[in-house]
Amino acid sequence: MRRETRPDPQPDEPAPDRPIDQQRYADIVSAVRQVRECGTASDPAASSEASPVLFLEARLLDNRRYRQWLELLAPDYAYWIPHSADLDDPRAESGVNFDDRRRMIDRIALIETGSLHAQIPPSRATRIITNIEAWRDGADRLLVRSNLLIKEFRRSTITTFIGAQVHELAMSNGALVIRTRVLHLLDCDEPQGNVTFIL
Amino acid sequence: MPVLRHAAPGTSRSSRYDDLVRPDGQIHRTIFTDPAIFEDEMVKIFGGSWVFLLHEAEIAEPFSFKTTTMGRRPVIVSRDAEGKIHAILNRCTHRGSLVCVENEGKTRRFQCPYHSWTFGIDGALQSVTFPRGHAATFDKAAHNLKRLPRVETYQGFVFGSLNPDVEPLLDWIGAAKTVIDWCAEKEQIGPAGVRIVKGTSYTLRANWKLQNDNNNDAYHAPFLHFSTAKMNQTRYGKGKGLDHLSSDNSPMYVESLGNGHKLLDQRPSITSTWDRTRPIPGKEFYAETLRDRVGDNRAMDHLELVGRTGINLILYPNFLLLGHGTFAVYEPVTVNKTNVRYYTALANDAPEELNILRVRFAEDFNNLGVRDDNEGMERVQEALEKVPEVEWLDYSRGLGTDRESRQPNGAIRGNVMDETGLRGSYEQWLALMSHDVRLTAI
Repeated sequence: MRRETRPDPQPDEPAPDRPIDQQRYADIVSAVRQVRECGTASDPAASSEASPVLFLEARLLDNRRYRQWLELLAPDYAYWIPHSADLDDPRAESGVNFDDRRRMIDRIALIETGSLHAQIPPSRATRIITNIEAWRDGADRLLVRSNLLIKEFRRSTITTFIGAQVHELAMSNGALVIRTRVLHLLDCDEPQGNVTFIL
Repeated sequence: MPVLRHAAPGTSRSSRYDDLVRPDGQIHRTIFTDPAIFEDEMVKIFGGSWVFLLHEAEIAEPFSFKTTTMGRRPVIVSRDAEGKIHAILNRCTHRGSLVCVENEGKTRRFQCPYHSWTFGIDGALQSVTFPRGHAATFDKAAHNLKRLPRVETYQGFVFGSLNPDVEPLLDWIGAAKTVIDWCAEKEQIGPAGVRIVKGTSYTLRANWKLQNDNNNDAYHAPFLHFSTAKMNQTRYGKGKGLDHLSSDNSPMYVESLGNGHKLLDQRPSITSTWDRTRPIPGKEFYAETLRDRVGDNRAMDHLELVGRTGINLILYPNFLLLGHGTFAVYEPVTVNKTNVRYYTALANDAPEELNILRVRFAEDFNNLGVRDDNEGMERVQEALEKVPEVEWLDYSRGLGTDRESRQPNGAIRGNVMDETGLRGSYEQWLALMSHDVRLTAI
């Protein structure tokens, strides 16, 4: 009987992160639905609390400060770009991306090898975030919905990504961390170009 | 060393394309860059040959349909009340409008938005609005939506052709049959009892043949995918991802199967697909849940259906069967633009854990490795377009060496890192492009 062998953590890697399980998926479904179905105006205090986190994330990603960005992410972080409109459940089909914290670190480590041809030269990106709306959900949780425009420049071409994103922010040791991020691209069900950087 | 080919030399008619695909493995750049050649391919290859349309489980119910393409032609593939599959050109027989613009659905009839002519699920004209405007001689049957004259299915995979004289599907599949059978049976991907879900899809600024080449090309794996190998090795040690494809000294092989089909067979070097599977999201949780539920041994049987089986089978021109429940279709858009859509087959009676893991595995290499494939192919396309003075691409690797041999089933087997399979596809390209073909919609 073969057993999967858990790899030894590399010296420069964090301890194994909390895995994705059924409950974690259920939480993502719930966050997406809550934001989609919410009929009430956002909470100004919650919105002003959430905005700096979203802007910080955008700035760190624009500047490719990936390791610093990782510090913003919860241990059970989930990142999902659905490939269909109006889809709530990442278990139903493959996404443009679906990453837990571990696979997100894989993607960052891939860029850091210096051999990822698709990031030679690296993408430059500018993110513009508008329409930030946030709602408090319990004492330690904020749900945030915003519009995101990304312009990427690489090898003489500018590419546009546009959509709405949902953030689930959680309080951890007195600071907000990003637990879930779902990015609904406007053209999510179309074949995507070579997305070689982290949207 | 003898040069192995499928057709005896001199059996194909001479054509203007003879000078572009040479028996010594030299391929001319213009077949990747010339819009006129692309137009001719859309007739002779993506019309005159068998073209993959969809998996029949995508239209499982009577009256269900999906819109897709054959070359660039918009096509509706539907299932009628009796379960028969029809492939209908999506173009109104009245004044030419696209009839259906939905991706998929269920319907009793297709109604053209322009003048509301209505057609049945099989494309037959049901009614014309304000019919007194047509003479008594108006022939309704002559105005059915036009269908492909040939639609055939093997192991759930549906192919169509606009060439009424194309050979029977199974003759065309030929030596690829045993590989399709292996996937259908061992991997539980059908034809019955499966559902098909979307995998990732991407668009590529490159000619469709470069993608068709790339999925049979193991030679690039240790080099173009060095970053993936290095990341996996650093984070998880040996034996993950693609590191079995590290040299040309291995029991793996490529085969040119005839009719342009080709196989990159990694099964000889993959002992456990599950062990080789990288830590995809949920890997630990769903494996443990499954073990708790059905016991270690049965759980392992299921988990071995997640991961890289080691099959890359390409049916020329547009179908990739990857094993592990995954297949893809290449859609030519223009001479330098191609869409690639992946799909995953999930078994209806399989444990939910297995299907969830298959969905996550289907994303894995496409997000970590395919980025470099696409970068590579786009760089090829760009350079071919911009440098007309350097005319030839070299596809000769393996040719005339002792690394090629004829198999009992007629296949030409080559070293896993050689271009044996690619040359077989260009031989088929030349054969198809050298003959005029009469396309007919019925």
